[in-house]
Amino acid sequence: MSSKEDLQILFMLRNKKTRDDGFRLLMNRYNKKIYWYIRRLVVLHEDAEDILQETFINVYRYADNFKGESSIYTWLYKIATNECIRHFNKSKKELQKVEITKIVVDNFKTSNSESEEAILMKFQSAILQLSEKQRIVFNMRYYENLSYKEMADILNSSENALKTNYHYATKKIKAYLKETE
Amino acid sequence: MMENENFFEKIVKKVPYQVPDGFFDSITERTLQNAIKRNRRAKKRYMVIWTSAAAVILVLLTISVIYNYQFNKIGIEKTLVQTEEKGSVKIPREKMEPISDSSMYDDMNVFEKKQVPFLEENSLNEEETFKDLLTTLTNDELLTLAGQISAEISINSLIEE
Repeated sequence: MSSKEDLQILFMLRNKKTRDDGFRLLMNRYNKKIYWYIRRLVVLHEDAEDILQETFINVYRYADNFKGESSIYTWLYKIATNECIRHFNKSKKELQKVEITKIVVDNFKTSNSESEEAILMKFQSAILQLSEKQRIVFNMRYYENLSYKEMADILNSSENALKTNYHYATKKIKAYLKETE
Repeated sequence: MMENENFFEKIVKKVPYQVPDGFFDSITERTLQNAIKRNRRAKKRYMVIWTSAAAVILVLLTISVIYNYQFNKIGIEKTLVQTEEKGSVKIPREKMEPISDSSMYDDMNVFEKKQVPFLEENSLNEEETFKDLLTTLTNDELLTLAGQISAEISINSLIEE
């Protein structure tokens, strides 16, 4: 269920006079969270920015359609995930190992210590070689700390199926890390 | 599953990628402006679609009204011609005026009963006037004649319409 602040924001979004202010409040509250969720999935900043904008534009346009059965952030994740899937479908090309490493290196923050950087880089490369569905499930569970119930609601999937997906994703990542040691 | 989760807990959940400076400060306003623009465009598109739909419906309605009117007109004329051809009903083409001469009843004696042959078009002599003929008719015959005339008048008015 949505918090009091979320309900207030939703009320403002649904009112024509306060829609813009409500939108500002909503975006300031969630833009970082949603951006990083998208960024981890698509990696490139430009793609993440486009998807983030598209997600919040949809919220602005279809706020009246939100039934309030789930929390606002679950709804935001749902829209963002759909936009990411649309993005994946558009760029159907499967990433090769070399490309994955290059993308990770190009986008990497250099402020970390060398050993930490190496681990993080490897870890990100391991996540990127997962299938799209596994990547989404792993990110939701590992980084966003969403429950399987919330994930099932967002992805329209059963909890058991998601648990299986997560299990295989972690197995693959482990295998990748071992392989590149 | 638990073992998996413990394994990954050891890896720091740090954000590994870089973001351009000031990105989060400007993204809200930029997105809002885009959303407003998109909304306006969608509204315009809806207006165009609805206006076009209304125009198409109006044109179709006008065409169907005109077509129906024409069809009914032709249909009535066709039916009349067909019934005439079949000979089932004879509809006089000439316009008939109702008999308005009240003097024709002047000499009529309602009690007087005369033997008059049944009124037929061919039975009229040239010398006989219509008035003379009426005086010779009985009440019943007059009523029959009046009925026939009123029926003809109503058919005429129908055709005229």
